[in-house]
Amino acid sequence: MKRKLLNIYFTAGYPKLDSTIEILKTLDEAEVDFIEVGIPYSDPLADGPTIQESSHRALKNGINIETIFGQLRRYKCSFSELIIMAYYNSVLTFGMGRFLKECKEAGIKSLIIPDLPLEEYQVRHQADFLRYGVSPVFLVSPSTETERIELLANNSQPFLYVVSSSSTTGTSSKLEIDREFFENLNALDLPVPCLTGFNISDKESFERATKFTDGGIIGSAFIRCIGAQGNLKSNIQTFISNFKS
Amino acid sequence: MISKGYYGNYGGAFIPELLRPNVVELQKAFETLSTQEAFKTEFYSLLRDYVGRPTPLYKANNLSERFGAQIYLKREDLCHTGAHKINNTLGQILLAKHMGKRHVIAETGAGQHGVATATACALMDIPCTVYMGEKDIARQAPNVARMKMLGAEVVAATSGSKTLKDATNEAIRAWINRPDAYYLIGSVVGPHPYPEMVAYFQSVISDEIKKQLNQVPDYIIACVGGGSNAAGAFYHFIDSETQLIGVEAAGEGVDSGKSAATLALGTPGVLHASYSYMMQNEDGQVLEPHSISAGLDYPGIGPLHAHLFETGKAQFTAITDQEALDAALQLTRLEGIIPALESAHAMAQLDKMTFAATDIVVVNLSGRGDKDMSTYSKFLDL
Repeated sequence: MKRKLLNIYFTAGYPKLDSTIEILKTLDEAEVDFIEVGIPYSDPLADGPTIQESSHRALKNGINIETIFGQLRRYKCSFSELIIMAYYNSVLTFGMGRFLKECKEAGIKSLIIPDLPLEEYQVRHQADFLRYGVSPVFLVSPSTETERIELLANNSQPFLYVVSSSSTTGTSSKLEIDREFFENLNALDLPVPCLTGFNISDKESFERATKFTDGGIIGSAFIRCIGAQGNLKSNIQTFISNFKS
Repeated sequence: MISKGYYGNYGGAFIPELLRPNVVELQKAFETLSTQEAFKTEFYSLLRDYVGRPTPLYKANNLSERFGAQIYLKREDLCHTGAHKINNTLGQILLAKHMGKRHVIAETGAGQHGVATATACALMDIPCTVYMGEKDIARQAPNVARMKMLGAEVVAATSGSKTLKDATNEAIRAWINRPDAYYLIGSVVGPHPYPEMVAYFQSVISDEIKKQLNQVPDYIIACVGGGSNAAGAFYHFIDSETQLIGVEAAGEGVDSGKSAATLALGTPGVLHASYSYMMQNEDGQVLEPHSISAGLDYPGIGPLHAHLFETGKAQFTAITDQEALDAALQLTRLEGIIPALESAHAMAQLDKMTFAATDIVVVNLSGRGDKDMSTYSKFLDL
């Protein structure tokens, strides 16, 4: 069986302002496939309580976009591919061109903006994305029609983000998988890998979530890991080894 | 003036993909139903028999004498439930019913939209959940009790500033988690089609003013938080001779750092899935607003108003907490009408203007002050 891709999300500036580099380095050394760095936002609409709280704390720690890019430029991953997750207003107000230029300089090739629909992306921002060599990652859910899944997959690099069920992130402790949807998704001949996200918390739910896809995304559960007491580095190592064993 | 969900540059639907099926379904239902005669008949008979419309356009003689102009009050405070909010909730509940929705989600600031939603839901026998900021639950206690008596579940929003913005965040999150529910937004904010739809249901206000006055007024003044009562009062007078004036909440002063005057302090951005003006820092983090009035305590404004502001089709001013309190007391003593704190901001604008004796001024008295009695008691030493 093909190895499943592992994508770990964390909020920049949490638990401490300068935790970003240590987290990146530990994840990179643990050979995590994708590291998704979340830009903390005051009003994260698609996120459940755990990521909301981490964003709130990160902002209280005094993090801002410039600081985050400064941190990202200081550590070059040797294994992992970096991705940024930001809400549209953060990027828009910072300046889309300026943001993408920073991405390019930090070696980041893809950007998830959960509240930027494909159509608005194409009309307003696609040219800028192309100019800086950054591609968007789009999300689909069990309620997305087949035609639209194909359309979004054709515009999404390096993977398509498949939300496990209709919910905000990390809202439910129990992962529910719409089997019929995932079987249909698996049958589509999509040009990019599919990664399942939302409500994956342990090895068991990771395996169920990725049964029909190429990998999984872990966010809230990892935020709880880095927010926990004890040594940050060893906490992360233990957490990742549980998924990799 | 609206094209594909945009008023000029403002509006749109910046929603997560998860919400797309819901929003598309709603866009289609609104487009189809709002033009059907049977739907309009059902809506207008509810407005007449249940809300008590048309509301009076009352010539306020004592105020007119005080300010040296012909001052009229559009008495939305006399609507069933005590504010203009019911116009919109009845329109949307009919839509929800036609769409076969079995649960309603809403946000509320002052609680007037929450009460109006709970009322419409009681009437149509649809269960509803209302999200309300924890701070607003404390300062608008009578409305919380009314919602509960009407059968609504009231959920406290405990994030951020614990006011309307956060209640709206929680309501949107609840909708993502419960896509089969109908989300009943109370103002001209949110993703398309909400701004257009709420303005349409509230446009009955200016439609009546036009008929009741029988001439074009020189001024229409309305308070603006998200901007639903102003949208309704302006609607049929946009592009007319009438000077439209929207009144924001200055809080403790526009430059005090404790204000909710979005157009005075804000810049364009996306809040609650709509591109409009909003109060934010240079990184796009939303700033916490302040106003004594829970209904105006919001860091954003509807895209229609952003467009009117930018094109100069309406003017926007800001009134402080203290000026609003003074105006509330003045209206009460001169005309025997206790206004909602929100509407008191519109009243206070009169004091900032100079009129000719023949000027016809309409102030939209969007709601009554019963819900604000504890605030009035505290600040007016009653």
